[in-house]
Amino acid sequence: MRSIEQVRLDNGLRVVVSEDDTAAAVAVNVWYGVGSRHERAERTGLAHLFEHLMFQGSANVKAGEHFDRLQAVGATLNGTTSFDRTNYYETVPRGAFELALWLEADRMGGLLEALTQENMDNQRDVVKNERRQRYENQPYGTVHERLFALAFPESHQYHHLPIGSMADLDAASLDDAAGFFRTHYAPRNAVVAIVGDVSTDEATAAAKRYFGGIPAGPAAPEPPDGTVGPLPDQVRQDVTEPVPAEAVYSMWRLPVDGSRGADASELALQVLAGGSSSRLAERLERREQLARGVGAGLSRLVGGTSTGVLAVTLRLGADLETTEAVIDEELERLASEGPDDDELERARALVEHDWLDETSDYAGWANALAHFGCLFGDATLASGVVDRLHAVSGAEVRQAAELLRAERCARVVYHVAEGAVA
Amino acid sequence: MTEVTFQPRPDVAPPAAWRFPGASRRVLDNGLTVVRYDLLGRPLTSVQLVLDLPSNGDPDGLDGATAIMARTLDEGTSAHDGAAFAAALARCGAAYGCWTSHSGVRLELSVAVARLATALPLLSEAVRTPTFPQDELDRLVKQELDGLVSRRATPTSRARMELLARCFDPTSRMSRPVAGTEQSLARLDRKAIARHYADHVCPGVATLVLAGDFTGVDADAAVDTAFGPWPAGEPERSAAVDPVGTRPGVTVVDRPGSVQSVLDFGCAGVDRRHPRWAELSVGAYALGGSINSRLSALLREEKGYTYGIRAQFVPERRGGLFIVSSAVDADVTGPAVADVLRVVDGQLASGITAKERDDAVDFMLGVSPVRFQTADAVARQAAEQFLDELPPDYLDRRNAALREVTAESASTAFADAVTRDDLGLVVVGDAERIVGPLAEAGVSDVTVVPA
Repeated sequence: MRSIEQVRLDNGLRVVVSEDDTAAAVAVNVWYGVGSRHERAERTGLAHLFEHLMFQGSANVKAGEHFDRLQAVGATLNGTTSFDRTNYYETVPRGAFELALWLEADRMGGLLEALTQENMDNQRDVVKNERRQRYENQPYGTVHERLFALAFPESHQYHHLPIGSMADLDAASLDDAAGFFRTHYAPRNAVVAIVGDVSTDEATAAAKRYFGGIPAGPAAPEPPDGTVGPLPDQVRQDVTEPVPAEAVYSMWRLPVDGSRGADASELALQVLAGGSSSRLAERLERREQLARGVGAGLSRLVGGTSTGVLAVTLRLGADLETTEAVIDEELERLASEGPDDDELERARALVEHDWLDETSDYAGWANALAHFGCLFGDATLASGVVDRLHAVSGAEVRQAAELLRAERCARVVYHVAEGAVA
Repeated sequence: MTEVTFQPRPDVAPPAAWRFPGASRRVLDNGLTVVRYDLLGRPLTSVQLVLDLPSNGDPDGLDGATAIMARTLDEGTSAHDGAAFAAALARCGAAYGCWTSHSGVRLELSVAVARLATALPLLSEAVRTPTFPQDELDRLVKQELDGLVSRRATPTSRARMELLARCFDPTSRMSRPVAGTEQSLARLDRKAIARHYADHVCPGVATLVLAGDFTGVDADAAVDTAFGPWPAGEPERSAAVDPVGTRPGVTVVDRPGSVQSVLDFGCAGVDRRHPRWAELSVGAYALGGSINSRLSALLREEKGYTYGIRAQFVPERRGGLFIVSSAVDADVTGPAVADVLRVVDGQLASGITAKERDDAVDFMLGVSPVRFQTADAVARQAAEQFLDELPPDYLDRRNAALREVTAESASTAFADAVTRDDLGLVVVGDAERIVGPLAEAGVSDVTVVPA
C-alpha cells in the first residue's frame, strides 16, 4: 500500500504527499476545482484558454520560462482542462522538485502580473488551432461535441465541451481572464499532490514555504446544481460527412463519480465493449463482422451526472440498420440478464489492470491523489478504487445496465458523404 | 493577509547519476534468449516477446505477410479459438498487444506479477501453436483494408503515408505500409501466412524480455514451463536492409474543405546506429523538439499559426526519416511554410547556440529517470533495442555521447544530414485554397494528388 499524507495549509491549500523511491524523480500535480462547468454561457472555452495563459509567465517567471526551465532539467510537463477541473503537472528529476513547486506557486499567486493582451491574443489563436486540429479537421472529430449537446439541455453545464466555440473564444477579453483567475485560482480551491523520491516532511515543508505566502482568497461560487437523471427518450442525430466509414456513437447520463452506481456503470460498459472478449467486440467484430472497432468508456464527472460513451465503427459494406439492431439487442440483453459470473470476473480483472497501469508511474498516481483530494476532499480514497470495483455485484451491474438502454441514449450516427470536408 | 509573499527561486540540485537498469540474460536449450529486469516496487509486470522479422522479409508481392501473420497468432491456437483466447487473457487481467513495424514484431503482455505464471503460457501458446483459422484471417485482412481507408481519411496519417512513399525508392520496403497495401493484402491467403510462419518463427529469432518485481515468484521457472516446450528450429533469416532514399519534392494531397493544412516536411534520415546520432538529436531538438524551440517559438508562441510543430529524426532499424510536422490554419498555409523554411535555412546556415545545445543535452540526460519509471517503459525500450540491433546499454552510451556534443558538432552534423535540396514537403489540405499561397511562399513544382 502506498503511503498517503494530507495536510491543509492555513490558506486552505490541500497538500497530498506519497513517498516512493523507485525512481529518482518527483511528480507534482496541481488540481484546481474549476473546469468548463464553471463557465458562463457566452464564454465557453474560457477555462481551457486560461490554462494556456498559465504557461505564459507570472510575477517572477517570464513568458516561455516555465517550459524552458523545467525541460532544461529533464522534466515532462503539461496541463489539461476538463469539465470539472483543470490541472497542471510535471515530473522532474529529484533535484528540481523545489523548482517545480516554486513555479506552480508563482503562477498560483502571481499570474495576473504577467497577463497581457498580446499573450491572450496569441494563445487564443493557438487554442483555435487546437480546436481545428483535434475536432474540426478530424473524421468524427466533433462527435463528442454533438453528443454532449444532444444529451444535455443548453442550460446544463455539460452541454458544451471544454474546448468551447470559436465565437466565444473570439469574444473572451483580458478582463474575463483576470476575473476568472481571481474567482477560481486560489489556494482554497486547489490541491497539490507530490509523489516520488522525497520525504513527507521535506515535501510538506517545501509546500508550506512556497505556497504559504499566497492569501486564501474568496471562496469560489458553486456552479448550478447539474443533477439530472437518465434521458427520458432517445435523442438522435444523423450526420453525413466525408468520414471513412459509418459509425454509431451512443452516450448516456450515468451516476456521478464517487457513487457505487458509477463503479457499477464502469463494469457494465466493460462487459459490453471493453476489450476483445466483451459482448459487442465478440459479436460485432468477430462473429458477425459488422464492426471494425468497438469501444466504451465512463467519464467520471461530479456535476450531477457522469457520462458513458459507446463507439462502434462499422466495417465497410456492413449494413447500418443491422448493426444498430445488434447494438440495441445487446444493450437490452445486459439490462435484463446482467453479466454472467465469468464476464464479471473478466471485467473486474481488466478494470483492475487499467487502474494499476494508469497509476503505475508517479504522474499517474499523483493525478489520482489530486483527483480524490480536489473533488472529494480525501486523497486516501485513491487507495480503495480496486476494492470498491470488486465489491460491485453482478446484480448491481445489471441494475446499472438498465440505464444503458437504447431508449436512454443520445445517439450520433455517421453516414459517409462523398466530396468536401465541410 | 492580502499581499502575496514570494520566495526566491530555488536552486536545482545536480542530477544523480543514472544508468539504464541492468538485466540478467540466459538462453534456453531451444535457443530462446531470455532477458530479465528486476525492478522492485512495480505492481505490473511487462513481458515483451520480440521476433526478429523485419518487414523486408515479407515475400515478394506479399507486403504485410509478417504483420498479418503476427496479428493472427492470438486468433486461434491448438488449445483455444480466438474468442476463448481473449477471454482467458482477460480472466487473468492481462493486456495483450501485437506491435508490428518495419523493424520487426513485438508481442506484449502486461499483467500483475501474481498472475504472471497464468498469463505466460498463453503468450507461449500463441507463438508456438497458432492455427491461423481461415475466417479470422479473412477478418483481419478486411479490417486492415478498412484501416487503410481510415488512415487515408485522417490528415496526419495520410501525410505520413505520402511522405514515406515520396522519400524512399519504390524498391524499398519502407516506402509502403508495414501491414501491406490494397494490392498485396488481396493476395495474402492462409497458405502464404502459414508458410511464412513455418519458415521464420522459432525460438532462434525470438527474445523474451521480462521486467517487474518478481519477489516471491519464480519467474525463471514460469518462463521455462511456458517456453521450454517450444521446439528449436532452423529459421530462414531475413537481414534488415538499408532503404534507398529519393528526393521527395512537393506534394499536395487534396482534401477539399480542410480548415487546416497538415504539413510534413521530410527527407530520408539515419538510424540510431549512426556515429553522430547524439549530435543530430541535439540539432533536431533545437529546431523543433520543445515548445520554445526555434520553430515552435515562431509559429506557435509568436504567430499562433498552429497548436504545435515538431522537428525530429524518426529512426527505423535501418535508416529513417527527418521530419518537421505541424497542422496550421488553412488561411496561413503559405506564410507558415515560408516561415518553416526560413527557420530551417537559418539553422543550416548559422548553426545552434551554446544555450540551445545545453538545453537539449540537459533535457535528454535529465529525462531518463522520469521516462523509465515503470516496468513497461523499461521492457519496451529493451525490446526495441533488440529489434533495432542496439546494445543493451545503448542509452548509457548515447548519454555519454551526448555529454561530448558541442554546439559546433551538433550544427555541423545537422547541416550534413539535412540538405535543403533533399527536403520535401507533403501538405494535406484544400488544394484550391493553398496551391496559390504555396507558390507565393516560393514553393513551386507542386504535384497535386487526391486524398
